[in-house]
Amino acid sequence: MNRMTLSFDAKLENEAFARTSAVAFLMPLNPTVDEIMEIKTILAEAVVNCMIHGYQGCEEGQVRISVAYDETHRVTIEVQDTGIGIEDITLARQPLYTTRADLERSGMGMTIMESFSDEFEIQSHPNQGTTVRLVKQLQFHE
Amino acid sequence: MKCIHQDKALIFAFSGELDNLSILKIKADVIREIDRVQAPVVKFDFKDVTFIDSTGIGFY
Repeated sequence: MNRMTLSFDAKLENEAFARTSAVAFLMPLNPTVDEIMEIKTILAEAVVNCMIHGYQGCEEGQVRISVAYDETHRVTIEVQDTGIGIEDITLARQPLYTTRADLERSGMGMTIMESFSDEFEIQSHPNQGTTVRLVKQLQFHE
Repeated sequence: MKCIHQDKALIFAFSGELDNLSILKIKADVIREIDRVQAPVVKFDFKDVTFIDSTGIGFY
């Protein structure tokens, strides 16, 4: 098992850092181009959710990401914030649902994360932050 | 981003990564140009885009 953890300010310019850091960490697994794109997209969606929804645009919040993999190339990603939390997780996971239509959000972030992962769960409580946990099995040849 | 007037079309050619930050930087310019030109056809060219997420979907 190998793991990395990063914590950074909830500033939009750090989203790219999160995407590329996760991919860089996973490069020893020789991911395919498609797997790289999916990992980048998962991180982008999760991190932006922390910034836009969890912290409501407040850049002083901290976003924490953790990426781990085992010897079978099973990758676990966790993205966490200590923001406002989600009142109704079931509703939040509905495609096209967004609480920020004023920002012209598509409401597809959760759907995309779920589509690109093999396991996807959200833990959140109002005012107690949100943790998104995903598992993705990368190609593995013994 | 490049903006091209071709025949009756207004074409926006995007490149690189279209994430939340980059879209915030170009959004106002795109909307302003669409309103200014009032072209009957608006096209978005994504062939040089290397990354886009749901933020991009929401914008377009």
